[in-house]
Amino acid sequence: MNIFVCIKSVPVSDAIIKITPDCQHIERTNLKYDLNPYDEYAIEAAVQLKEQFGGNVLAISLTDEIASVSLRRVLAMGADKLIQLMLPAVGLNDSQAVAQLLAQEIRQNPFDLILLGKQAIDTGSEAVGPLIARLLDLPFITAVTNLSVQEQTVIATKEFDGYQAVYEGPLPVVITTEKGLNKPRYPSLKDIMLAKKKEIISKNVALPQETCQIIHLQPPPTRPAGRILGEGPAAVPELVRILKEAGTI
Amino acid sequence: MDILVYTIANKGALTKASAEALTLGYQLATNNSGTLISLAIGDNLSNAAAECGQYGAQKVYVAEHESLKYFQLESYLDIFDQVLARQHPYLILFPLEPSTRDIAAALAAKKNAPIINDCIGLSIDDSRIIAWRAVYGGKVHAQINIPQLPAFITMRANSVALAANPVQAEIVKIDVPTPLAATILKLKAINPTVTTRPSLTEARIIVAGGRGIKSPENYRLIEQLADSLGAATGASRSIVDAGWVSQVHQVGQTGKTVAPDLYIACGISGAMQHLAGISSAKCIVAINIDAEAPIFRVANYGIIGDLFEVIPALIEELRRHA
Ligand SMILES: Cc1cc2nc3c(=O)[nH]c(=O)nc-3n(C[C@H](O)[C@H](O)[C@H](O)COP(=O)(O)OP(=O)(O)OC[C@H]3O[C@@H](n4cnc5c(N)ncnc54)[C@H](O)[C@@H]3O)c2cc1C
Ligand SMILES: Nc1ncnc2c1ncn2[C@@H]1O[C@H](COP(=O)(O)O)[C@@H](O)[C@H]1O
Repeated sequence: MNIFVCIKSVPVSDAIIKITPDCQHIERTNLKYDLNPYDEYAIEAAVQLKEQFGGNVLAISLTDEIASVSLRRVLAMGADKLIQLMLPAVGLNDSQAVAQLLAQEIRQNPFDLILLGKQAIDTGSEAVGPLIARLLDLPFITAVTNLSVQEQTVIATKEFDGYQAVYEGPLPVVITTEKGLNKPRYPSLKDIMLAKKKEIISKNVALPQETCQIIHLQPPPTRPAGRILGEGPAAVPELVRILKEAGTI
Repeated sequence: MDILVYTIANKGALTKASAEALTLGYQLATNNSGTLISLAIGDNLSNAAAECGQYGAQKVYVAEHESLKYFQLESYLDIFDQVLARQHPYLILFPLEPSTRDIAAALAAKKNAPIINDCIGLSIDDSRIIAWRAVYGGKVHAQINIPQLPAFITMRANSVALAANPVQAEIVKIDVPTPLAATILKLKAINPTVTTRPSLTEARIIVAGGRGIKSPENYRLIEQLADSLGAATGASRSIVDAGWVSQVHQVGQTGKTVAPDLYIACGISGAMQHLAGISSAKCIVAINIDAEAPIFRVANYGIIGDLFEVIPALIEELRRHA
């Protein structure tokens, strides 16, 4: 089975984000990057399927010089090859443009399954997976919490408000992964050594016309300074009084 | 310039997030000499369809059939296509939820149109459409220019103040082919997840527990407090990963983003990744034994204390005021 996994390197989840004075970008010096957490579930699922059926796991990322350093972990986790599509700067790009570049590259290779994270935690946009699927004319299932493949058939579970749906369909399909799907592995020292011999292909690409653009970044509105109402159960009546008075409860 | 709002019904009633999307759609449509159109797909929709008129929808498309009860992308898209063949809205708004993310992206892909998920604000200035989103886990707000129409936009729940704008709505029934056209992906099984509590993303009040509850049985305390407030129950990642509660309750960067009127965090330290999920909560209350816990830096009201004493006292106080 040939599996593509789309991965993004993003600022770590507890990074302090500073906006540049022109309000157009974020400060990237000293910013730490890592694999997008949701993409780890996609990688783990791909490697498990490879272990089950044999084949190849190809990781692909639209990235840049600064961000790409942390992508290599995907090779230690079990991907066979990493394709880096290099932009001058990657970040909060339009999902349509990102999907087009990724789909263009993916389509030149044989594949049975495409896995992505549900969401990149920097953009938060949750759109790239379905867009790639549609560009490649494939069915997709987003945010899956359970995934299995049996004889060219994919079975995947997705949570809705009030119910879980199980979908079934033939390969190839596009799947985006939700937390809870699996436990991403920690590569061993040996995996890390082996990964050093694996192939990384880098190509320069240019972003196509964007369908929408970020024109301004700003910090979220500051929350009004809070109040400690007191210690222990003694503070409870005051809390209830305040919430009642505000009509909150 | 018309606006189409996709609406969702839950147990026959319009969801709050749908009413919010209609409210927003009505404001934008009327300020720009357009009309508000709505569309609902599913079963048991007649009440919800009537409600759409209360929020300003002049034309209410309804595709109602038993076979549409559960989300199936291709069948839903077929119905959307029928409506888009008759109407030419420049904005298509959705309340954000698991099904609408898929519909919006699939429709946008076909037209290479802008798709913007989880918006917290949307306005039209000098015929320029501007959307606001939270990025980098809520640490930054981004203003987005949408130069190209139509655009597909999903809205975060609780980001629009509801306003009724009753109009005389024309209900238009859409023919649903039966059986539905065969699709590549088949719905193989449905497992209802029974809960009597409201859903996290829609709830007006959320009570959430973290590692401070000490053991899985004690999540009952969180549920009891939630029930005395008619609230949904949330959790930090550490107790989800420990297997104490199911993933569907997780709030935060790798869980749900919520925007309730009231969020009560019990025994939650307030890690950045947890805060990422609650930055748009209107009021945060923290109950934590550690006065230095970072949650107190974002909480509107804090009680320093043992949750095993404070929560029962709170339940009791609420009962007294009921
Ligand atoms: C990539 C990534 C993504 C993440 N995503 C999420 C996410 O989506 N959501 C999330 O929540 N976390 C997330 N985390 C984890 C996050 O960093 C924290 O580890 C987690 O939120 C801590 O959970 P907690 O507050 O329950 O536990 P702790 O940090 O252990 O805090 C427990 C708190 O309980 C208090 N306490 C103890 N006993 C009592 C008592 N008797 N009464 C009252 N208070 C008491 C303590 O003072 C403490 O403040 C993520 C981490 C990473 C790296
Ligand atoms: N620049 C990128 N390169 C490779 N994959 C990406 C990129 N951006 C997004 N993705 C994939 O698409 C998923 C959803 O991203 P998003 O739609 O931006 O939330 C991510 O989890 C990745 O799997």
